[in-house]
Amino acid sequence: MTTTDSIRDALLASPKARPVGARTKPALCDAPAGTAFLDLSGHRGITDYEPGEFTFTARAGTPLRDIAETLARNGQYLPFDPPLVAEGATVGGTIAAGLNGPGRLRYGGVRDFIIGATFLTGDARLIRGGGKVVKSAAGFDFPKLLVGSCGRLGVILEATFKVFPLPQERLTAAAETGSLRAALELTARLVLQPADLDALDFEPGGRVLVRLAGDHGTLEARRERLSRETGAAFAAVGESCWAAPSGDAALSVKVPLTPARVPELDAALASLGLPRRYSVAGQVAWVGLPAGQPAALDAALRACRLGGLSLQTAPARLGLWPSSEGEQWVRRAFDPGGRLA
Amino acid sequence: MPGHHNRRWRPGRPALRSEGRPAADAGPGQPLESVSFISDLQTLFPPDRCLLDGAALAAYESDGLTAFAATPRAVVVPVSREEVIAAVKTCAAWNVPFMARGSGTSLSGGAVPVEDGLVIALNRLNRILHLDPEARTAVVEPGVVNLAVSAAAAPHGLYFAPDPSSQQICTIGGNVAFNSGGAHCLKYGMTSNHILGMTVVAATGEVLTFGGGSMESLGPDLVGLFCGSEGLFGIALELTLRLIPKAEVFHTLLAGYDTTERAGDAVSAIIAAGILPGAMEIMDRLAIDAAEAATHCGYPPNAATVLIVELEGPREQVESEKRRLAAIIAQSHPLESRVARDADDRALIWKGRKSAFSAVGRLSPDFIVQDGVVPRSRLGEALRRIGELAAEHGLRCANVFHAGDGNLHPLILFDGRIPGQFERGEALAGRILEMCIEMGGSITGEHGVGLEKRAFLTPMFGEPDVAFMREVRRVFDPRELANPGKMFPSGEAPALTAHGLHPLEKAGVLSRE
Repeated sequence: MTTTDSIRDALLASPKARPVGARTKPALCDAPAGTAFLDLSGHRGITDYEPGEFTFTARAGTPLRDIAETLARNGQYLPFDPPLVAEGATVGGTIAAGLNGPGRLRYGGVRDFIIGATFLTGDARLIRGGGKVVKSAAGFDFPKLLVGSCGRLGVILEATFKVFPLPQERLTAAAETGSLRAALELTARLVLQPADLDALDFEPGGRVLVRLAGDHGTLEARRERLSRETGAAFAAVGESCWAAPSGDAALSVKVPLTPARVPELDAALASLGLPRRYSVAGQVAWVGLPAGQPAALDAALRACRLGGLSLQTAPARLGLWPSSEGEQWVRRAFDPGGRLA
Repeated sequence: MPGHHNRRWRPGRPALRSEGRPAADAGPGQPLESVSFISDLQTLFPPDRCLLDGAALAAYESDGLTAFAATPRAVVVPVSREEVIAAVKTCAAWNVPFMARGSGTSLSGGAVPVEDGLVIALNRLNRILHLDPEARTAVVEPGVVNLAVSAAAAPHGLYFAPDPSSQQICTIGGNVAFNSGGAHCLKYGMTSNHILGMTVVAATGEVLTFGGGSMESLGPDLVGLFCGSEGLFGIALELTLRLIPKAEVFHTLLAGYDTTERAGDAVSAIIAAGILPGAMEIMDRLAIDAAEAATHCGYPPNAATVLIVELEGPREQVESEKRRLAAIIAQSHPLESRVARDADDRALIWKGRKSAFSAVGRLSPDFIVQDGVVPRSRLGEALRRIGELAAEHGLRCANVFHAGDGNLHPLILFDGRIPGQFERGEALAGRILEMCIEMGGSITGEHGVGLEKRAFLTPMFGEPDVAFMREVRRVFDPRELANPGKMFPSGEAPALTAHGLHPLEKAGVLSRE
């Protein structure tokens, strides 16, 4: 399906429908029997990009890889490190899944960079929300509502994002603190520093990773000063530590939380022997889920009163999700027939 | 004297439909339902927090946009979330429209009461309930003043980034309702980019929770939808705010140019060089004259335009960026440029900028301000057209704007005592908004649609989009009781009449951006 009309026709032809793109998050493409999949991977292409505006508009099926390459040629980027880009993740899928990488720490996530969207409601009405300029307070912010909607409120056709200038240089540094507790203590100090950290992750074993971004020739001095001011020995390491591991070690379940909840969750995950990492200064845990084990993780998350979004292994919803009452309410307007539910 | 020809906004009196409530206490000459509605309020609120007489109500009849006024039937002042919910439920039971109000600093008429409706004044729900430095969040009630959050966070080196220029008195609830901006949106975004979670009471009286305490969330982003909904869904009872660390150092540069185009070109060159300043502001000659007269801010005397650029960040980064910035400015043909020597000098530069609006008010008995947005590469063109349009309408127009994100603030000066000037000012304001739409921009960058710009929502979006927005509103508010008459076009749309200084502006308490 490559045109709005063909997508609309396909949507109307199905009592139950689920939009999909490159299917890099198979658990989100899991739907009951009889559901028609609307394949938007052919609905692709950047439709508007003026580098001087620092915004672009692209069709939902456009791979983020293509966008990242186009932006990079103009010294620009999406600062939130969208995940699964190498695997082929699309614009629409990244919005619908509401996914961010470690870079969301500094300037915000996909919700903060999307400024406009065109979508079909469940009853196939074509609606535009937001705008094409970096700042607008006109009308309801439908683009943000679609973030995290997992294709269940509307079929995203096209989106406009703001972008930022690509920093001249990046530097990743790691400090070994020896324990999760010590890593949390160091993180608590780091988040109050005016160090403008580009990313801040930590691992259960106590390794704390920071990324600095800025002008040529400034980052080494900032690394040294960060070590001095926090009393932690940050040593430069390769950028590769930000790359998401793949295969069995893939960290494919997103668990939003606050740093205070990390010790409890970590103990539960450790007892299950699950790989995990804490990103965005302890605001999200990424958990590995070997095939066939969702029930154990589901129970562990429930015990911690946390919820998770599983990307690879269905079901997508694990643990205790926040109330879906608001979602059910807006569905009355977005999807009155329940076609996308 | 502003306000001498204010058009009072008098929409049709909302139809009161009795729902079978007993009305035994109705006095002679009083509609039965109205008296019962009031008596229900009186059982919920003590007399000092349930205002009914004309003098007390008068204080609530306008907001920051003095052109519009309406008299509410009553004002209640809740001190707990339960009282807010009870007030909303009472309105739902009696089918009476309501509007939540903080400090009433809306510049779009968004906080003008509904004629004969209820005002729910949230100023006493002003507690910061929890501040968690480790999570960098604050949980607050909606009546907390914007700057009070930053003051509470300051001991931890944190602050709340959205900085509308009324931040000394405007409240978080209002910031959320109108998705307020400020001078730092280019780098840090608007209010909605800094809200993580909220508990709200919908217009039906039902309580809903969106988001949470984490920067990450699950499910559709209802927090994002609620921000900027202009009070049309219900009332926020509690908000979780994201705090960020205060920048280590600042570097503030002031440059004067002989043409506005040159200043605009300098802005484009700065952005193209990959520099992301905390703020970039431009003022034209008329605005400079006004600011200079008011504050003696020392702006270049011969410049047609001044540009303020402020870098902020870690010391090493700002050191590097300021050299790059100096090179760009040197090549941008400024008449002169200077860098703030110290914190006092920086404050003086900003004082001129922040005083501009109230200072322009000294040049003219009345003015209209707009906050449309154009693509930033077309700023020069937009300003030229504004100049041409102003000349066509025979009026002066001063310009102050957030150049980094193309957010204009044309100030149309007129004298309402001269026949025809007011109408020409209105017409000019409308033409400027139409220009913003034609250029692919927005009718509002940060003030919201409110009452003032609702005739322009449909031209910006189109009928189907606006009709759908209304449907979404009715999900939360099926009977359209929450702040009705705002945002959406309607038959009794009042004319665009933003002008004059708010009393608080005259007193120097607040300024506009």
